[in-house]
Amino acid sequence: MMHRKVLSPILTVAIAFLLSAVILGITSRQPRETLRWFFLGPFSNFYFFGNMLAASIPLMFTGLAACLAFSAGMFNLGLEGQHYFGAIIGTIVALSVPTSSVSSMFLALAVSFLVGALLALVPMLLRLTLGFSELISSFMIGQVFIYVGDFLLNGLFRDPEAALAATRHLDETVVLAKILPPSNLHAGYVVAIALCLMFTVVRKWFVMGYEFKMVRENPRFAKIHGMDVERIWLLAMILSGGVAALGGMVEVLGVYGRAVKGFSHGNGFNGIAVSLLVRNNPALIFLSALFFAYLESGAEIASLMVQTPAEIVRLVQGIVFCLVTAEFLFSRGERDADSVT
Amino acid sequence: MRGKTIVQLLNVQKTFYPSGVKALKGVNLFLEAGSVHALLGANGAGKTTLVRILAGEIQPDAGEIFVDGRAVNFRTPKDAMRHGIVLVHQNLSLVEELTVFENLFLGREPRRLFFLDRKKAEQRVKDLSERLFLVALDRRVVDLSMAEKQKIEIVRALLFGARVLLLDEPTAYLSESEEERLFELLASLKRNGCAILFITHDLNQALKIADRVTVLREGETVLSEETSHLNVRQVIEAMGFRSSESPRVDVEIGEELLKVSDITLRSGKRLVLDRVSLSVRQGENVGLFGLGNDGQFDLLEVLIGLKKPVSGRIFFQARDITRLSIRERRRLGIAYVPKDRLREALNLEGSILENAMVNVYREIPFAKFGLLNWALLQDYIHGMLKEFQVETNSIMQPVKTLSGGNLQRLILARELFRGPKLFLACRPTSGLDAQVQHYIAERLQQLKSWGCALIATNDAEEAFGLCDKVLIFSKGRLKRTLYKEQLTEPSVLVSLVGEQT
Repeated sequence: MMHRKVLSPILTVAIAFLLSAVILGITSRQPRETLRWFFLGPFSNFYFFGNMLAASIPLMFTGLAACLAFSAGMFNLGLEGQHYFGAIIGTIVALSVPTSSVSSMFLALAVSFLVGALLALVPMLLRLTLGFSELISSFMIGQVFIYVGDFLLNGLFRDPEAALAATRHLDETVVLAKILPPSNLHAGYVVAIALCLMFTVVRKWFVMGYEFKMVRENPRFAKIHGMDVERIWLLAMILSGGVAALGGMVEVLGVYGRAVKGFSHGNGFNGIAVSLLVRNNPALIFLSALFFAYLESGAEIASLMVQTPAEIVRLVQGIVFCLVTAEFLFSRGERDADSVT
Repeated sequence: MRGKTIVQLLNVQKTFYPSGVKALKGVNLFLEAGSVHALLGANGAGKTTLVRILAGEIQPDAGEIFVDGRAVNFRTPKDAMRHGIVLVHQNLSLVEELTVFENLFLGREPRRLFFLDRKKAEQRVKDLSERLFLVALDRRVVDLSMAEKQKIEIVRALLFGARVLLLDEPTAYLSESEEERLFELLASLKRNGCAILFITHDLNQALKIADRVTVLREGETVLSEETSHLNVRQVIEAMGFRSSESPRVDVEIGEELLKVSDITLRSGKRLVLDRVSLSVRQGENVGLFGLGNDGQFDLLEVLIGLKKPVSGRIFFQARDITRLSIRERRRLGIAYVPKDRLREALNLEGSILENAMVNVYREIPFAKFGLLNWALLQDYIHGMLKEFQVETNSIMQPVKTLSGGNLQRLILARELFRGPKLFLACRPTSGLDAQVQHYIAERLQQLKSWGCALIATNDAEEAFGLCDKVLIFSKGRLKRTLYKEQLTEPSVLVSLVGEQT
């Protein structure tokens, strides 16, 4: 038993390497160089390394957001919209309210949290009152607000000086501190890890964690024994949407300094995968977010350093991800094969 | 009509991991064509494990299985099915939203290109369903009774060539008349050469229906004999029980604890409860009896707060609780055991501890400032399970590792440990062996000295054994009240309901 547990991840990674080598061998003119940059690039200097860590920050937030919803048995597929739209509104509010630097940062974070929570609350209310599936409505509402966000950035709040659709820059004093200059790594990393650890503790030691687990595993059981299932679902969705939006705001405050059109590029959806990869264990979310960021920055570096088309590198990224996910799913099924009922 | 031996088991053994429970220590059994075989034994004797091995759901550690004289090795239920062996579960596995017809062919539809070949399917099902008096094929399963659902499962098995039927407690959720119909069905299958093995806790029933009886005790075959050579006493002794009368304590009847007035409940257009009023005093165990699902179970769901009545009031200790939440009602000292033990009373994904603590976790001193005190909870649960004789190796293990009898004890322990004022239970003794039943009867008698119980059931025997007073329900209406003096034997209840309807 033990052997298989250790051996199979190693085997998975080996197969992933082999397959990607073969594909690059066929398509790239410099397969060896490409592979080297893809897998080792993120560790080749502090700049790349710091950027990789920075890329994992929004994923930690959205991963935690997905995990929060899953923990109570809910699906929040609107993470992308909450992440993106929450950050845009937060930025706009911070720009338009003249206050001191620290308080406008907190104001931005609070506003984004509220907006994200609201976007997640609506689909949940629709489910509880009208019986809509929260899976579909959260996705649809999220998508709608991505375009509303784009509209705001292109129109009313666009910085006329800027070449791209973005708001004005936030004040220099508002943004989050950098940790490893010149890379993008910023203080948000610590915040993200702290939040994940907080939720880990809540799940294990708090009444709320126990209630989440019971509601997830058997809502009927939870209800019969006096838990307020609907309230728990609402709470989970509010926290999920709020944390997703917080991640977007932290990204704006830490990396861009302003809301830029399309800055979230898939962080929300990847958050779901980040959480699933570690079976929704918040203590490990930093690892799976890092893994995602590693593949992402590997792909970026490889296409930057060697003239390999970015699509090919993304293909390799996809293969590695598929294999790792499959491996996790396999090891999941074996556990309860021999139970009594 | 008895034929050749179809299935034979020799010295079959099975140990479960990680709990290390030796479920089977060497079981021998044979099934003949055209015969009914009853499998008896106390809770945890290994009955369910045995039929699951026969059906290919789990694999034995040692021993041999022969089908038609050839050794076989079932890896999956499909392998067993190929040899014509099918298990009908206690918790049926039908898709509620589909029709009877669709359920019958689920997963094995005869096809023409990609479409269901309905004609062909209908042909195949027609003669069978006529023979077995199956209900209309286009009705949705969700509207059917437990007995009808069970019949569908059996027909489903037969359609695909089953000749050995394994039934895990087929009568656990059936009313008396439904039971009769099931037995008629089994008799007709027997005439057609099927071998039937069924698990039951009812000795009289086993001796009446079966041709042969096998008794398991702690994972071993202790008795396997033709029914004609047996009497009830021999079987009871083999199971390891002393036969005993259920205890009955007389206590002073105290204050009125529960008063229900004019409760009406609807489900869609259907009237589930029609202006039901009743009153229960401390020291009374009151049975709510109906032949099928006559509203007695729904009434308990209304009392605990799961269902909202359209009109009527509920008073508990003179306080109106009609609008209180489930949590608030439980806090007042109302306990509830739902009908569906596996889906409603337990969280099968959770550990024993998580299941046992669900009624106390949010109270001081177990929770302070939202923080759980796991050490204290573990101590408390340990004590509780010990007092109710739930056998566990570790309370951190998944609740699934407990045997059926221990699960029932766990549920009762959780609800009874803190001495509820009002104990609401649906079929508290169904699926339990005589010893555990006796034990529950004792607990319910103890309860009388500080509280009262309402027991909803469709089993006359149970109502008779546990209650001092029985209220008879029929189609959502309270028909009649029977007092202790009138409760001379279980059949009184059944015949009375017959008169009323």
